[in-house]
Amino acid sequence: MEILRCENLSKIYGSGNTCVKALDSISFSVEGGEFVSIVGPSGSGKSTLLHILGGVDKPTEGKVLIGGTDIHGLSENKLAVFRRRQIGLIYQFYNLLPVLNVDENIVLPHLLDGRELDRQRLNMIVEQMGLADRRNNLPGQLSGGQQQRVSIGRALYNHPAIVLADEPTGNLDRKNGEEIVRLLKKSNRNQKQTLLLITHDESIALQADRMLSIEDGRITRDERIRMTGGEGL
Amino acid sequence: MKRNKKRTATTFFGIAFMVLLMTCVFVGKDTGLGYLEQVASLKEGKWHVSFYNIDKEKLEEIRRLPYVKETAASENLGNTVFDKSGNAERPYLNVKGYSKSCFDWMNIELVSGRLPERKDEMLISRKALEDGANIAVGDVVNAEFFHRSITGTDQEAIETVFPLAGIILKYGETKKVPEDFPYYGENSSFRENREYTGGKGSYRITGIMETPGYEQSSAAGYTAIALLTDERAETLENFNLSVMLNLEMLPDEYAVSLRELAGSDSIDFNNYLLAFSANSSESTLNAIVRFMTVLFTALIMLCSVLLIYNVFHMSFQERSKYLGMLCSVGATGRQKRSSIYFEAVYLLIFAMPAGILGGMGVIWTAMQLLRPLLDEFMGLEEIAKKCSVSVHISVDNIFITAAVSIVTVLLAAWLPARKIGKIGPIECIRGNTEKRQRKFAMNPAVWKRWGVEGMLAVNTLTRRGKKARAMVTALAVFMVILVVTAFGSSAVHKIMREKINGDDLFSVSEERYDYTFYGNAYTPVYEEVMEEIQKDAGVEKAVLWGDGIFAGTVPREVYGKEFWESLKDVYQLNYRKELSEEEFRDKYPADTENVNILEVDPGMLDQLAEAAGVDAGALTDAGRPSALVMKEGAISTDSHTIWGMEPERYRYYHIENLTDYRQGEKMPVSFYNEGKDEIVDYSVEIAGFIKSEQIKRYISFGKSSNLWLIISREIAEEIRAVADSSEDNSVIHPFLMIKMNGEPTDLIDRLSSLCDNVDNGMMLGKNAYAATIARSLVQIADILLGCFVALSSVICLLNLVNSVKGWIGGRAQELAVLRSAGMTEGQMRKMVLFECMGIFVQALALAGICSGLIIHVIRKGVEIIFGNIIVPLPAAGGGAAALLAAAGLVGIAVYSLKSECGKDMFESIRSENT
Repeated sequence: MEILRCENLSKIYGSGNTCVKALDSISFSVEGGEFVSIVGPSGSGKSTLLHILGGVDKPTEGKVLIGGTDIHGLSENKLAVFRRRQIGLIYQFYNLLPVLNVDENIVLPHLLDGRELDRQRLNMIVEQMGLADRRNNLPGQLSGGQQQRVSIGRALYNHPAIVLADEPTGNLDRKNGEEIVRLLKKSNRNQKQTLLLITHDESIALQADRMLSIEDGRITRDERIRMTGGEGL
Repeated sequence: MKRNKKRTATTFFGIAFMVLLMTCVFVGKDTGLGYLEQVASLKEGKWHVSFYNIDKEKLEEIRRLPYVKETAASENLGNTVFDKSGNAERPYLNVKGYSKSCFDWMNIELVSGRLPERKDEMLISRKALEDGANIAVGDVVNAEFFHRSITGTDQEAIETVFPLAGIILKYGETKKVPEDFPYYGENSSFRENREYTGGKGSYRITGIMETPGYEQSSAAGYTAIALLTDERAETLENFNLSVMLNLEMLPDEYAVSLRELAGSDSIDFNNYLLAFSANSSESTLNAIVRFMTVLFTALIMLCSVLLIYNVFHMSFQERSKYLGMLCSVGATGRQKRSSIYFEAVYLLIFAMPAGILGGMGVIWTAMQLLRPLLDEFMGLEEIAKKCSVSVHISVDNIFITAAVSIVTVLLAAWLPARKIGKIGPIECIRGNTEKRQRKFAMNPAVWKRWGVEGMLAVNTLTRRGKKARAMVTALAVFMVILVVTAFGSSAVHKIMREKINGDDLFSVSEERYDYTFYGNAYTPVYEEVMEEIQKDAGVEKAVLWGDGIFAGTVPREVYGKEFWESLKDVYQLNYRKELSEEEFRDKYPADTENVNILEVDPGMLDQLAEAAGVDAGALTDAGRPSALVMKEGAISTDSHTIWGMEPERYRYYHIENLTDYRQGEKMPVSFYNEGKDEIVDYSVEIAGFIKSEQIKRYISFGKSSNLWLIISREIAEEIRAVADSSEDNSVIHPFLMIKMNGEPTDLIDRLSSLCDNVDNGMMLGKNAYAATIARSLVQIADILLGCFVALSSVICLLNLVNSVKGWIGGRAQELAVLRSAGMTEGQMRKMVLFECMGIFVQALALAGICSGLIIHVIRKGVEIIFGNIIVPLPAAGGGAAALLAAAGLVGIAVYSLKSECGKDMFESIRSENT
């Protein structure tokens, strides 16, 4: 079942002579539970695409439909509510709130939605992320790998329709990077969680079901690597 | 600096504003006082002290004083016939001899011609020419000097009264008349006599002068001034002496010394002039000018240091990575510190001239705006028109302004610079300069009660340490400055009022009556004076009042518990031990206490009765004597001294209820009957009680420990009859209250002259609160404090804007992450409002403690310097400051948040990661 569709997405920064076309009429769709890796050189528009898909940035042209909803047609408030319920964002630099501890950072989108805290799920995620002994620490007291795990926990806690990860391993050493990918893949396989992941690392990209290559704001390759949730082709 | 232009601009303006305020304090003080000195010197002249009728021996003594700079003699030559007068009612010239300096010191202003240079030359008043005198520069006046007196010639009349001259003349009696006594010509009531002094000569008119301020239009003579040469001055046995003092060398108690030196001779201080050079003969005024200068400077330094410190601190937080990099490539602590000092000095170099120039502009503008008010307060509108405002720039003042500004900026920069020097590269680069290992457990109770917004706000405030404290400090400073300034203003105001009211037994509102005319005469004479006054075109009305200080006595029990407890405390402080009731009774054995009486006119009685909620009709029934009773009073260790004893410490007691008697009860009052030489019992029914607050629009009473009974004319007459008061010794002394209508008149000058010239115990007082120098200064101080509050609030507001914008703007990425995590703008506003609430509560507590301490110190200082002054706590000012601070905080925070929310979320998230 199609969970994400984008149609003719374009993003232009600046105007006149300084105009830069970051995305140039990109269209593609993603099935529910699919793990898609997005690759491309620096400045090709990967991050811009991911943030437009996540409703954090706005396209100059085109539509993004998640579960049939045109997210950029929503008001600011409705889009914020949509984000916290349907989208999980993971950044390269973690972007945790420095004044919240591990638990609070993980449950933040959930609490923002005004819902009761599901302590069982929180415990499970904290266990899965290997953060049980760090629950009361602030982000500044954690290592990079630990912070990224908190960031993944935050993205997954709410069972979002789609998880968008922007180079989640880019700032980590190999061991921590592998651990992060393992966690994301586990969630994708076990929870049928749709995952779009930007990476420069070919070995990580090849672990996805499908790989999109972007250059100069255009999709140059859309390659299926394996059947969704299955082994390699 | 270039990276955050807005903050650099705010710092620049903050420093410039601080310099501007310093300029206002140091240059403004001199400019303001210089202007007032200029106006004051036009009113009375440039002299500082005048001695009258002194001899050569005293002159030598005066000249020997180290702080006497110059002296100039003058003499009153007397009157001479002025044949060329164009006004039959002014047939004389009143001639004075001035030494050369006196022409300048006495503000003699030439209209034409020149000043006298020889002993046989003189100036003549312009008024003579205006009245049609046939005289011009170059003409000669032959003078033969005399003093005037009058002799009663009417056998029929019992006495001839000159109310405004204070002369009562009987048949055959001869009395000297003052210089400004009018000329009545030939008449049947009295004859005018001339007592020739023996002085004569021919005087050439060398110039026409502006009519001197002291010349009365009703006087018989026009003023003429001749030159008093040094040779002649040497021959004079008695003369007047004007003295210029060296104000830099004045000892504190100079006025007392000069009064002692003058002895029985008259001495006069040019108090307006002295007061505005902070050398008034009243030390309180001098202390107030100094107190205000110190207060202003300290407060400006305090808020400037905090503003600049705050900006540098935020700047440091922002540049921590850059500083870390500097550190990692080998920059020493000193080099890092230098970067902050460089920034401070760089900004100061440009901000200082801007601030000084701006300050001068503000002073000039403020002087133009305040000038009419200042002139009005001093009652010198006409004189002040001749003065121009110029900013008093002196090297000393610019140097002090610059020095204090440099110290302030360096002090503000020193604290963050010191901190930067100590922090290592890793902490800087990581951005966690606040080293913490503390763990924070999730507290479900917070988000359950306040929602996620409350939880975020609480965590932000409790886990962000110094950043939150900087916000709290900025807001607290804002409140402290407002509260302390409000308190300082009220302290200055109170000091002046207490000093004035403390000395005055009571004062009447200027809105009711403009002048009070006192004398020793019995009521019937006053009625004649009153009639004379009422005839004057400039008078709206004149009414008769009366006062009796210690007029009667009441039994000890009339005074209430509060009074006796306070008095006992005063005795205990003097005897330095606890006194039993018996011991106190033994030390203070009096069976009676005094009461004061105030008789008011029917109109005022109605108003006071209405204010007290009493039927005024009941107060005029002589068959049933009743009075309004002033219930409040005060006792202090200053007001009740015991001979030979020094109290342990100063204490002041405000007494709410001087008596425990109730409304409707009869109060036994005894009066001394002169005729019978015995005490006569009387009783007055208490028609009602009044409090200061109820009647402050009409009368305010000084700090008295005695009950005041306010009575009607009818009851006063009955008391006079009971006490058998005579002309010389009245139990209730009459005086006149005069209300002017604004028409031009010389009545007040005539009455003043009467009080000055004749030794009759008469006194004219202006009721206007702004009439005296002290009162003028209070008004001026109020205006200055108001301006100061406004200007220092701008610094504090800049600090607050800077802090709040830094608080919100510094979290741009965090806020963007919150938005990306699904926080709506409404939720974010709610979170910020919670934060504001937390910051406000903490700031309020901090401001409460700090203001409390500062106020306590000021109160103690005031008590040490000024004595019995209890300054009320600035509750209204505090409330207003808190409201203003809360509104400012919320307003700026919500505005800053809105502008943050308007930014590109993606850019904000990326900006601080790159």
